[in-house]
Amino acid sequence: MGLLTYTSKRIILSALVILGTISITFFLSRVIPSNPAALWAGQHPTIEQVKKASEMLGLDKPLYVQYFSYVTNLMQGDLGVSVRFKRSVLWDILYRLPATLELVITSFIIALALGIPLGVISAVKENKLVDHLTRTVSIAGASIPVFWLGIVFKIIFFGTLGILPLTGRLSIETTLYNPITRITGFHLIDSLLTGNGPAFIDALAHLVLPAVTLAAYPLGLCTRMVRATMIEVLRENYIRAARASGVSENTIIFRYALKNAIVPAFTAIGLSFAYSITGAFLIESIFDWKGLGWYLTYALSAIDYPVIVGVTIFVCIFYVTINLFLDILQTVVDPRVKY
Amino acid sequence: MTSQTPVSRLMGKRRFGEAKIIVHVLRSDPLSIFALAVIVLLVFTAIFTPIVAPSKTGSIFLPPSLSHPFGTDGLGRDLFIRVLLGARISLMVGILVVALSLLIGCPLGVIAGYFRGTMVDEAIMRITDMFLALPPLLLAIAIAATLGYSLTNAMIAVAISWWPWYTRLMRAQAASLRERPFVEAAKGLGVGEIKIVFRHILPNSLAPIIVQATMDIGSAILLTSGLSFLGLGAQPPTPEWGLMVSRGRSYLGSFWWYATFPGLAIFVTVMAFNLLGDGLRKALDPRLRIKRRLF
Repeated sequence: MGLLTYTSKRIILSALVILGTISITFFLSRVIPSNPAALWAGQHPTIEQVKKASEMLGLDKPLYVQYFSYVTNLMQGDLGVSVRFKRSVLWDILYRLPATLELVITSFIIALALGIPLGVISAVKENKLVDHLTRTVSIAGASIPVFWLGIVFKIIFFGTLGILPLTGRLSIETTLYNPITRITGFHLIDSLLTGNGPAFIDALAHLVLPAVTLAAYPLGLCTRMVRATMIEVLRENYIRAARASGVSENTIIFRYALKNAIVPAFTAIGLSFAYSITGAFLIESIFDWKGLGWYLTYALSAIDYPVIVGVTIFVCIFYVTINLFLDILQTVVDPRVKY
Repeated sequence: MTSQTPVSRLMGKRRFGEAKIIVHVLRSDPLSIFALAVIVLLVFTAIFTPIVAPSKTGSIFLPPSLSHPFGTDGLGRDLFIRVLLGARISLMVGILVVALSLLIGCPLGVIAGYFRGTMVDEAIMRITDMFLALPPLLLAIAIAATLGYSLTNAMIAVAISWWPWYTRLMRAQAASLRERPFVEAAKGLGVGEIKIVFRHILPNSLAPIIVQATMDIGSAILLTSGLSFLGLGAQPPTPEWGLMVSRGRSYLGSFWWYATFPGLAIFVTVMAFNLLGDGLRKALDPRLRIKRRLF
């Protein structure tokens, strides 16, 4: 099978996965006993108001008609309207996405910057004390409840030491005196672009705790993956040959081995990037970080179904797309991968 | 993993040998022993706390002291007792979620593996792919939100997002087992296909699944407590750890112990299962074992 066939097969499968998710969430949200029309009509509605709302939302039509029009609307990028906010769900999602991405990307930079060196050290000192320590730390990273880690950090860095802010993306002083003009929605980038120094520092201070908390899981994963691939590569003959010809150990590790070890590690790490977006849901709820996760948790407590379904589908598409992209990238980069 | 052929005495001996190697490797790994000890302690706590624990109360928000090791909460309940009571809930959650996932995942996997390459296999595996393509937390949130907020529903939601892993694992096992002579022998004797699948292939492919399942108990506890934390799982006054952390977060500035100890309990429990799982995997991975013998 050629690359083209493989790619098109994967794209079709991804589209099916997305359609499946849409169907599952749609039908699940229609079998529940609560009445969206009554929610839409507001508090203490009359029977006429509920009837009017259900006509407007199309809830009086048969289920398959509703499903068909729902899928058609989705294809046109219409995720419906929030029951509580009465605003377009897609607009809300796009407005909040940069906040989530800023958090996830920063946490990933932290995870890679620490995880790759730790993995290399662990592999070089295999079965030594350092290796056992990193193993414990990386398993701890996968075992720690992120929502709890965030709280502990808050107790330490805000409660006891008082050096980092508690919640949110900016402090009130900054929003009043040095407001950030929204260009990309990323506070760090926007404040840099507009030359707003104080706001940049403030945004960075607010970012540290949630990003470090979110980094715990990918850090553990990255360390383990790099360690595993590195150990394998270090056993290869070309490394032995390099050693025998007197190449310095540092050159062998960083120039010869790491390059080959990092490609397979990256696929797994890339997947966990998409995974981190859902991890960010919990973090955002703790740090009152107004991104996608915050929006979703809000919708969960308000039982705002169009938002719950909308965010689910949006994140699903995001996840599947990254997955697809990584798979194709890997086959392009590494010719040994079988289709 | 070596696969096992039943009845044969030789194979029986080999299985015993395998168990001995596992015990040996586990014993040489102090972390695994430690993890096992923690799990045993947890099981004891889960069994006996509800029977012997006194219902202890004090003034509200007492800091940790000798009489209240973890302090008290906003209703004056002793947090130490509540954390211990939570052990039963969490262990049950972990075991039930994994059991339910096995119940869905294994039969599908064994059918797909036995009928490998047919339409049945194709259909099952594409549905599995669909579920695997979604992050478990997201799927669980969506399902829990639609089923209604309760611990049982949260467990169902986590199981629904977890079973595909077992289907995959089971399929690989079954696909290799179907080429074994004992399956051919059964076929030759005229045993029906359904009986072959469920009486011969399924029981013989369970060993690696069980190892995986042990490790997954920790992840199941972690995921379900996350749902409870978001308000989608256990409801008050259940002494569930995730819920307790969520209640305690409102007071973290003044009463740090409220959220700290229940969360620590989740961490220690999940860590114990993951460490044991890691130790088991090391012990079972034949490639690693060969290296051990060489060096």
